[in-house]
Amino acid sequence: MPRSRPNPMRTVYVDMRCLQDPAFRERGIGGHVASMLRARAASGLSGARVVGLLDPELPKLPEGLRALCDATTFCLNPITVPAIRDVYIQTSPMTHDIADTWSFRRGRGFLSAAVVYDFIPLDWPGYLETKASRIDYLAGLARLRTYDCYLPISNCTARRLQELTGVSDRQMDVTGAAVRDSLVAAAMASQAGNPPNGRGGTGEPYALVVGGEDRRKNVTAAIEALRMVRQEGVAIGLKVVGNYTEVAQRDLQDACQGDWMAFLPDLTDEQLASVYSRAAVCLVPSHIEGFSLPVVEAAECGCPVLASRCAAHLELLNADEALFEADDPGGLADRLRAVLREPGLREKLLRQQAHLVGQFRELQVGERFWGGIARALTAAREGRSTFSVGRSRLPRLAFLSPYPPDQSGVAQYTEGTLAAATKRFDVSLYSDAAGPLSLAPRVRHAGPLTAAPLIQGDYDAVLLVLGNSHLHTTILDIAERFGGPTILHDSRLTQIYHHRLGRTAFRALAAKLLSRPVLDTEIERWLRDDDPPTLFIEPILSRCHPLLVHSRPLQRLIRSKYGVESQLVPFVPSRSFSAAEVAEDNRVSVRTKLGLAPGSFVISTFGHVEPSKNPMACIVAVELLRAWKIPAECWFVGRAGQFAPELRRVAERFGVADHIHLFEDYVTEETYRDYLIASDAAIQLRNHALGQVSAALADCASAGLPTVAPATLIEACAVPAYCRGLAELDSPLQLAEALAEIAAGARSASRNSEARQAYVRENTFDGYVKVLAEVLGYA
Amino acid sequence: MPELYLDLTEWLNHPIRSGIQRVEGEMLRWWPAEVPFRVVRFDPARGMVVMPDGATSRLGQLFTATEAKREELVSELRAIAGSPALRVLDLNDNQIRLVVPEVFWDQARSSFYFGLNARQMERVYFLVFDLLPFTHPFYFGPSVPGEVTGAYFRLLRMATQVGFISRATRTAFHSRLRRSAKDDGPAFYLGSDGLGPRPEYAPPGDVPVFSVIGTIDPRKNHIVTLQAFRRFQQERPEARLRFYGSWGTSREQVRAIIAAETGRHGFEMVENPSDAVVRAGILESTFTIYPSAGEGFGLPPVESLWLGTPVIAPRYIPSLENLGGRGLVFLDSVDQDALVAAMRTASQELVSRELREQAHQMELPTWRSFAEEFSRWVRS
Repeated sequence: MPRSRPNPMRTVYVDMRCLQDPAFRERGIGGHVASMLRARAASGLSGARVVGLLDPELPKLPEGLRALCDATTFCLNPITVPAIRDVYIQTSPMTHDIADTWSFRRGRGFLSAAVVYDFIPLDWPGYLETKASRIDYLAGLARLRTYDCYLPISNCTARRLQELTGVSDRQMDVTGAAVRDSLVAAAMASQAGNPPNGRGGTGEPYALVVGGEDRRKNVTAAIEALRMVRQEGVAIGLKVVGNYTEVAQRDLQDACQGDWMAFLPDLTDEQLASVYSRAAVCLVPSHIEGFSLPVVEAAECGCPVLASRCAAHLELLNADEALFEADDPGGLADRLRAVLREPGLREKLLRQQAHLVGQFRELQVGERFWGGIARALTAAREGRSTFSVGRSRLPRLAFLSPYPPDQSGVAQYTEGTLAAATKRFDVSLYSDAAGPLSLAPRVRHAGPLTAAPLIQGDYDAVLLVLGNSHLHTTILDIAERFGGPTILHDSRLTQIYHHRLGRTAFRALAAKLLSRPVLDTEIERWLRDDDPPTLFIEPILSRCHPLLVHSRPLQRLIRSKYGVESQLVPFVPSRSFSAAEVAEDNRVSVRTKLGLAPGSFVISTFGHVEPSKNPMACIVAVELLRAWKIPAECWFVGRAGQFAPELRRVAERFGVADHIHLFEDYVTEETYRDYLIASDAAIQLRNHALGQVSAALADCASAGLPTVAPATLIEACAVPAYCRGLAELDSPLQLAEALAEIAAGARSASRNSEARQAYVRENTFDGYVKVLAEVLGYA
Repeated sequence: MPELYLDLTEWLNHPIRSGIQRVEGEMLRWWPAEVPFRVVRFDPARGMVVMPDGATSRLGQLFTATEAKREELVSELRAIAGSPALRVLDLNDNQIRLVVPEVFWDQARSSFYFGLNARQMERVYFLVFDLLPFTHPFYFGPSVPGEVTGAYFRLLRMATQVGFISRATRTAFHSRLRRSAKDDGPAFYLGSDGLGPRPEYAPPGDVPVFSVIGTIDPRKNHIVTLQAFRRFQQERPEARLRFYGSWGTSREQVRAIIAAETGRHGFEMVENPSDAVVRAGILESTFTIYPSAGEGFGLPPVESLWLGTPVIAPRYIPSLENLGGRGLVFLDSVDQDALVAAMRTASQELVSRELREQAHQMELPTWRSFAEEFSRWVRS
């Protein structure tokens, strides 16, 4: 059955990087995007939710622009639902790298739209001067083919798009570019009381150029033309609107050879409208344009335009009196002379250009823009397009995770999760585990760990399963680059970052995160999880959303440390035990099978032996218990590996070498389960209180095994009361006292208590997947 | 008469003026002249090495010496201790009593004692300070692993002759470490007079001045005290608070808070104060505050009472157990609310005056009495 989100609203993701980047925010691209976002309110997509995609490495988005979206995100790995087609708008495909936004493309069920401005770097010399820049640009062109629909700003851009990429007519809607509403309003106010200079207005008459440093704007042609006209005794100045460096201003002044030119940078809309309306004429001598906003701005402000015969201008202007060749200043001088001398020509030009007024306002351009997207969505629904319609089906989930035979608790946990997930999802696994993998029915091994499921896959959600071991290195790379829904298995990423970066780069990362120099001795402590000042999860926090955690303490810690709201998906045990398995008679037979001495108090501690699990405290506690006449035998049920000699040495020193039992290598599943059944008590220690869960503690709880663990771990795993919490993380005395209490009640306690039954009933992978589905919006 | 040897290895190796070393220092200072003793130091390669008399006198001077003189004394002690000519103690001699009045985390030294036979062990006397490093390792920072503290406490558990610095420590030792119903072994109360003679009675000043004496350790609750004081200051803006102590095992964050607050609005931190500075600080205070979460004894509150300055402290501080609540405002819990309430109570003129008078008249144990009782025990 298809699931739907609680609020099944269509989401429109808009790439906002061009609005973060000051180089584009203040130019035509930024203005067009902002105008279109403003215009959405009056469009057929006004009910959609707009999410702005941001890049954390770029400058912060100004508040006024942020308000154009319902939300913003750094996440480039979105969640979708089968029944809804969300929209992705790439607002500047040829200027901002789109490689990282591949996950919003058609493979993930999006309708993708590209705003196309021009191909000037390709069509006009001097832009792509290096081989590398040419290759990059052509690669961008190749990627431009892959959108579902296109929103070119002019017909000439649309034609060029077709020539270069072969997209069809029905994929394109030419929108034009909009004169912003605030300028239109200012123009209306300005024209009322501002006749042009020399024609009722005070001051010397002037021509206007709206330029910019780009040499294709060809401002020098305007200067040359004015110089010619002025040599004939005509009194006219030139005002140049736009931002120029001092060097560029000097160059233009040199061309001017006089004091009749003025630069007008940083104008308000009111000032700009006034400058337009008081000008005798607006000159637009560009060699090439994608649209040409000054032409339509001038029309809105009541100023006639003389423009070059570039393709974009010819779409807007058709009267010969208004057109000239861009490389012919003499021709421009002729046109200008005529406007200044011939009575009525200025008014005639205004009438000829009056059709532009009202055609390129935000509302009108917005109707074409959002209407184009709405038509593409309709075409998709009716099956008339190249992309398919979302039909009723299970949501498709890809999990990126370690998996058995990887020797990792996370791998085992993912195995349990996937088996349960097939009831609610169409599940694919991406893992580097050595195959063939033992997969539950209907789980597909789709490939190794790469970004492929985000870029090519046909998934509604791609879940990253992130832990602190080296097995997660590729997943960490993907988390940093794309983010998205992430299950954070471990409470910190200290060790994996150290493994991945090496000491020097890790020290640099730590120094950056802590804003202070960092010593190697500190790093050594943090690698032992000894009071780390940060969880080292900052690099993934901005993009990984929703961030799923397994314990309430970790959720609290992330909130208090980073102000980030993570989602709680309570941890469940990986292993289950029947009532018969934990019944006393079976326990006796398993103890016999394991060769455990009758009458001994068998304590086990499960999982790989690591210093952070404080194994020495277990040895000291065993010594204390034996001193207290409790016949304790302690089994480290997990690979002791390199730590075995040191454990033996300490056990020897404490006189309990015969009562401490180690496994040098990995423990089989059967042995692991046998000790969970046979033991009288368990110890699961951790030397930190970072909200980390313990799979072994959950297994102990599942087996009804009385366990002693730090109180913080007990809370994190939310295990029943037969698991006792220690206030101190590493007090051997408190540990021994708690074990002595268990020993005192061991004979009378049932391993299949009501508390165990309730815990097992309420903590299953089915329940885990149900919560996961809710958090992902598929409940 | 037995020959007494005091194993002061930790003090000789690391003279840091800790609380335990203060006890050792006062013990030497007030040791009865008629009872001869020698100091020994454990050398991992040789065993217990007997130090010459010069070492004993230098150790005795350590606590009263100036900083410069202290450095000199430490250098001299190291030179003496390193001499290969020193005699190694023969523990087979039945006349010998070996006294260990200090705590140590030295595995080799623990092993040395574990290697003694039962008859030798009967002649070794341990003074037990507390079980806190074993029961609450968090109080002492992350530097000492459980197997190291475990070895020392295992040694204590197996010892024959064990004395305690308080009844509370004795009870904890038997009930928790040995899990025994017994409650035997002498409890010696430490001296209150370490900061000099009792002054004349002086009435409390009008301005509430609180002082907290002790190392900045997590269990001493400095931050909650400072926060409570800031709340109290909203009622009594003229009130003042001072911390006297050295930086212990508290986190950098705690240090940063204290450093940022010091010098602001009536709060001061006096780092590494001499005894004279601490004495002057207590005398200037209307009350001292001792909000520790756990102690084996708790010297600062009784030193404060000795100087006539009443104390705000929790009931469970062992050094206060025999005082009948005189000179004290008890905290039922160590939290901001309780501390603010206690500061409020302590700032009432009548209460302050009455408790100050009680403190001034109170009979308290001295270091002389401690040293006499202790030396009597190790000879018994």
